[in-house]
Amino acid sequence: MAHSPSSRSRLRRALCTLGTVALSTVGFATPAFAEGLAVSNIVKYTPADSRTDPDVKYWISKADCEREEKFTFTATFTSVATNTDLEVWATLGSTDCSIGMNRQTKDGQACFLVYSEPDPVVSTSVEISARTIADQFTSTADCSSTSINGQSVTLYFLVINQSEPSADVTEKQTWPTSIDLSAPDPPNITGITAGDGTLDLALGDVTAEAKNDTQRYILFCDPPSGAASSNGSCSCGNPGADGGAAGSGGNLPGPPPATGGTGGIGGMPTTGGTAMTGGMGGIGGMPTTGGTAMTGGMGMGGTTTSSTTTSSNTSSATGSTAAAGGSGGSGGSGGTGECGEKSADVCSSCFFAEGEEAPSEDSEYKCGESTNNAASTLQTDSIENGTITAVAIAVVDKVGNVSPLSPLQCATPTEVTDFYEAYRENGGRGGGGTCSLGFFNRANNAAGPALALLTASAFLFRRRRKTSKTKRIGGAQ
Amino acid sequence: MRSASVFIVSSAMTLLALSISNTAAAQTPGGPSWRQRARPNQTLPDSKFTFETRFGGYYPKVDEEFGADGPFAQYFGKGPQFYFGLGLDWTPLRIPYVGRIGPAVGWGFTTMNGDARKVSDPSAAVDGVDTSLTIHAMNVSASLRIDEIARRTVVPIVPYAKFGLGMGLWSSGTSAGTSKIGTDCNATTPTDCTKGEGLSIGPQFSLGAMLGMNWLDPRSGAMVRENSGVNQVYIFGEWMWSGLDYSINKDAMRVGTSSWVLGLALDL
Repeated sequence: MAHSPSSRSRLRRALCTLGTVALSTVGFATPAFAEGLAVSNIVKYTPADSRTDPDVKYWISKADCEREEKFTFTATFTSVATNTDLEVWATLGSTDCSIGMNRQTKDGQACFLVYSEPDPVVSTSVEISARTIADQFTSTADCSSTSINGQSVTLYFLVINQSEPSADVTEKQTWPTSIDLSAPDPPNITGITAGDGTLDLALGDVTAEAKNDTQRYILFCDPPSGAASSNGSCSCGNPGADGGAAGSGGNLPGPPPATGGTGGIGGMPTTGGTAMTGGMGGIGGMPTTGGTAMTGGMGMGGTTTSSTTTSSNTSSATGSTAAAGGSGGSGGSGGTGECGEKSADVCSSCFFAEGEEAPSEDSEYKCGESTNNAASTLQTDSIENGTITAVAIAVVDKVGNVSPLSPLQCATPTEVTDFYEAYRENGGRGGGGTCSLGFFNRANNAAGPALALLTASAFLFRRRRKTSKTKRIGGAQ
Repeated sequence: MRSASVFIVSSAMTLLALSISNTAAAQTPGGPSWRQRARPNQTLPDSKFTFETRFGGYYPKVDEEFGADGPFAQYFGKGPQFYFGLGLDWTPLRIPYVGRIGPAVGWGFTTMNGDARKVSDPSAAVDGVDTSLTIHAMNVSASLRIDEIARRTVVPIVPYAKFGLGMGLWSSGTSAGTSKIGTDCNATTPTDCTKGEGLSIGPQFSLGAMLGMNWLDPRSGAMVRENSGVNQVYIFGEWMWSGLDYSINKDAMRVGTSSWVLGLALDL
């Protein structure tokens, strides 16, 4: 069918009008979204105040998570409308949370909602807990994960249409951070050397990666600095309970052989710092076969590693009378070893142990610190000479995660006389610094002033030569 | 052990210099000649600067005030301590038929370590707890280099002498830091605390002779002169004496020495 030019023009006008009307209708039917979203740079994040490395200023550490530190932003809009939500979604890696599909709850979900504000105002304060973010990425939700150790996290600030929550979003802002919930490995101590009022700990090889992640080392000592002995003691293990009741006697003699009763098993003592094995109760009577004598039960006392307590009860009978089962042995006594034992062979403390969480940095047990992440040796602060001291080290990574404690090392600092002390003790009087003015000193010798005179003469001689030369030149002119 | 290492290092430097020259000489047709007229560029350029690198044994005279086995010998022994030094002479003035004269500065370094001793038993060394004495021996001197012999005869030897003021900046301590003696050394502003460091000063004197190496291979020497501006390479031996027995407003630790050093010198 052929159209004349005028009919084509009319058709175009009609389509244009129709399109305009349709668009207007759609525009009125859909509420206007909040527009012009802008998110301020972070307004407040307390941990950032104490971090000097700008690369990790806004990271989420284990401690930040535990303390539920909060990120505070300000979201502003050029215009806002009802029926919209301001939502913040968090994702590990590079998933785009503005895409509706990525925000859907499903297996392998990559984006997680960490904040929602319905009908935000033009300037909305957004406060997001570090824990809320961290919990999305850990299975235990306890701020702990060995696999979360520095991954990038992106926060998506999205304006969501309440009627289409799963739709793709164009009005968005992103903010990057990172999360590290993994405590570093404890350092490997390869040796300890006793100094004068100090102990030097040699560190084993550290990988370049671990070195880069190390912010500082913290040393802990027991006894603490200035103390000649530990501030307290601890015993290891409680006595075991008594053994079980006596076993019943064997049956009458004669075939078939009777079986004696079995005594109860003694109580097991609790384990202490250095665990002691508890006593084992008595075993009941074991009859012999036939009509001959049977041996009664024999209780076995408890056993500890450091002290042994054994009690036995033996009963026997001969002839045709069934022997009574032996009574149960009494429980073993608890270990008597003191936790915190320090010797050439044993090195322990009542207050900290290998693999455990480090004591507080405010505790009296902190006895040194080093911010040299390339250090091969760490030295304690001043500690008491003549006292065997247990030392352990913890590493703090660059976001503040603290490692478990290293194995403990014990040594006894010894008061020594160094060369300078010996020099002074022998009557030497040199030293005291390099900066002071005055006269030359040397005991019983006049060469000092002579030297001063010589130096002064040299200056004077040079000056005189210069003057006479100037005069000669002047005279020549 | 220390004296052996001092000797080895010094000898190695000397042999290195000789071997370089010998290698070059072996490639020279006809070989080197002692006769002045046979040597090309027989008149040496008039150098203004001499740069020295020196090695030797250093015997601090700390125990002079105590007698035979003073604390120094007890802690560090009686042998030489390895010494390394640098020097620069500027000799702009020429004394006819004698040589060059001018000021010189020098810096040397030596450090020694020994085991600290138990307070309860001073004869017992505590293994692992080191104590040390470090000396920066410096001097400002007048230098006279009698190079007319080498310039006017076939003997490539330059005797020299230096005299001036020596300064020994020293410190003593342990791995924990500089030693401190007193009752309030840990106070913010201690009033009774003596630090184990000081500046000892005194006269410094040295006599030595330098042996020019360019005669071994004049062609190579000329090339070096053209390319690097080094007019002459010397090895030298020197007796060095410093009486660093004085201090300013304090008593001094005697950290001077009387010792032999070997080294390499470059005339620039």
